[in-house]
Amino acid sequence: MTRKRKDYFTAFLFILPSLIGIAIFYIVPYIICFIKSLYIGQNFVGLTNYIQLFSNNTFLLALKNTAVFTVIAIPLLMVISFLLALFLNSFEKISSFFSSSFLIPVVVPIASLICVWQVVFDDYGAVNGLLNTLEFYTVEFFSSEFSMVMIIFIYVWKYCGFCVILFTAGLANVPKSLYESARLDGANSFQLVTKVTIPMITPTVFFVFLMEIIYSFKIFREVFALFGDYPNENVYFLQNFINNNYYNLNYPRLSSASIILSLFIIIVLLVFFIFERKHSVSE
Amino acid sequence: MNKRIISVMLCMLILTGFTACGNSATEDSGSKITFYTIKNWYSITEGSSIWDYNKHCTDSDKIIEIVEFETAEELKNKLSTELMSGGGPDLISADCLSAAGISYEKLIEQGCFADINEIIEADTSQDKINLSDYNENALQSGVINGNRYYIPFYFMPNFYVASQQDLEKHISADTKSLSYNDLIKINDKINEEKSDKVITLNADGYLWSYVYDNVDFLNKTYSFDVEFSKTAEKLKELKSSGNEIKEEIFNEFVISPYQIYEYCAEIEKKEETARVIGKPSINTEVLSAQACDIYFINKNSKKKQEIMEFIKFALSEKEQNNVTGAEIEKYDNTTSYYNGSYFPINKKSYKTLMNNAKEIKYLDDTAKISNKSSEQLENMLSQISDYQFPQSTNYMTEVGSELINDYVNGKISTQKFTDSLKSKTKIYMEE
Repeated sequence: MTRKRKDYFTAFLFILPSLIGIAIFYIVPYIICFIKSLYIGQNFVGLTNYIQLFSNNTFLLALKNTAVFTVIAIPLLMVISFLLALFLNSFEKISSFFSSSFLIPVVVPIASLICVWQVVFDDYGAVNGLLNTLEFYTVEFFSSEFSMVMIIFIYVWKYCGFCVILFTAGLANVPKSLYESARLDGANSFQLVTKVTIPMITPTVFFVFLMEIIYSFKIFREVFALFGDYPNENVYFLQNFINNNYYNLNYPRLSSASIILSLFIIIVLLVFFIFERKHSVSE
Repeated sequence: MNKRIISVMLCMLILTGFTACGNSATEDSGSKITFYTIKNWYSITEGSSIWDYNKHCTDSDKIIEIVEFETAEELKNKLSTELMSGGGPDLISADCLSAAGISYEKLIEQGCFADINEIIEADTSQDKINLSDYNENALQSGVINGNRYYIPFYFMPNFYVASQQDLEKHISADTKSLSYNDLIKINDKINEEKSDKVITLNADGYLWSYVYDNVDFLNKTYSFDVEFSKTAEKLKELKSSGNEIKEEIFNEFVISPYQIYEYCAEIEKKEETARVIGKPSINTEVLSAQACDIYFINKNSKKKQEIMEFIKFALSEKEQNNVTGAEIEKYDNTTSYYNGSYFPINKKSYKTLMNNAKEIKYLDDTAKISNKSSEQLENMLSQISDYQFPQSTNYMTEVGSELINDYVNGKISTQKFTDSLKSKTKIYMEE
């Protein structure tokens, strides 16, 4: 065995423990889940479960809500955190305490946050108190279409600081000379952002987008803690559907919904990686 | 070389770690029938069918192994995970599923339970269950989509006992069963007359049962229309009359014929006429009863025939007499539950119970029940045609409970209550 091969073998052995873990806890269950999605009881039914799923109104409602949340919340979070990062980047120096305070929403336990949000968004809570003072009607955040607004707000609030830190790190790597050259060429502030900053931090934007996609699927924890197993139909997400079908022991429906959800994420990320790779090559 | 040893050791550590993942809770059960429950849950306490069976059982292999869980959440997680992976306990009670917040309607839909008819057919023993020995109508409650998923051991009629003199002011003498509108009318009249009686001290309960009555979990239909909203609004107002401490018109706690007769005797002592009437329901033409003490058999169980031994025991005349107190000599109203509860589905036991209930004395052994009252109860019992599947508490916990509380406490309007109920029920039914 050559030295290179020996090194490969040793490296492989080191990877093996985590590979076993990933195989047992992710790959094998995923394959089992896919196989189960093709069966009802002991009978092979092909794609029937998937077809039935798409004729199930509750699944379609969950799919619609998840899509609406993803389409609105992710761009909103990206824009807000990018603008905040730009604002922070305009300062010469930011104290480390101030920077790390952006991470507080991510590290505070969900249970504590939920208590706060319940007080803030209750019919007699702070937000409605403010609205009533301004002579607006009370908004029922927990039982109306505004539930989605509340969830998007919570999502943006929670992950904004984290994304700001990622963007700030990306912005710090943009050479100052590029801005100076652009200014000499007569570029205004808007052009500096669109023509210099954004192209230069594209890898960071991709990474932030990736993280946000992952976090958007984690928002179920907040939805579950605020609304329980059966939220109102405005915030009934795919994760609710999957979670409830677990307790209903509807394995065929649960597994086919999970496969669809995972395929959705895989496709989005794949497209994204292809984009990023192409962009990196052209750069 | 050292690196390789370390990595191999790591792999071994992970693999051996997996062996610790198994739960030993059920491993020791061996050939015994397993039953999961929450710690100190009443289905395993003294006097329950399982407790009696284990006491009676001489063959240690046929004993039911009770696995107790500290919390309902723990039971729920264990049960759902095991059932899903093709395992689980052999015997599953409806009470424990309710306590764990698992909907048995949905488990039936998923085919988790065995068809008892098939097990009976496969039984070659001499004491094979003969279904004609039991109340056929009550047995029918366990037949869903052609399969018999359970045999209820007992039933409880959905009856109230009241004084005819109180009722005749409000409803006609030939009313067999109350409607929710009857309740509202009676309540209005009581309030008008400033009577010293109230409909109930537990008004929320009517709203709960009204919601339940409007949902058909098995056929996945519900009706929360304009009429529902109007009635719900009126039922909510019953609460105002329940705030003061007054005497209730209806005696609602009816778990045995002894209790019904005790109420009747109290009324007769006041020289009034006792009246047994059906609890409020949407369909007032039909008298109903609740199937009780329900056990399902796990479809994955390999001990189906052994479980039948338990079912045979629970359905036996002796056990049914014992649980319902069919042969008691004296009724003590301070410990009514221990005198016996429920009505048996074993025909012989039922006959013994009803005869005994007529013979013994009530009101601290001082009063016998009149023929009129006993005939009335027997007549009403014979008219029961709807033996209901036990209500799923899962629906109420997950969907109805918070909404009803908010509505009764005035936090949400009737419109909001109905809309939210409709929306959540739709999701609950369809997902």
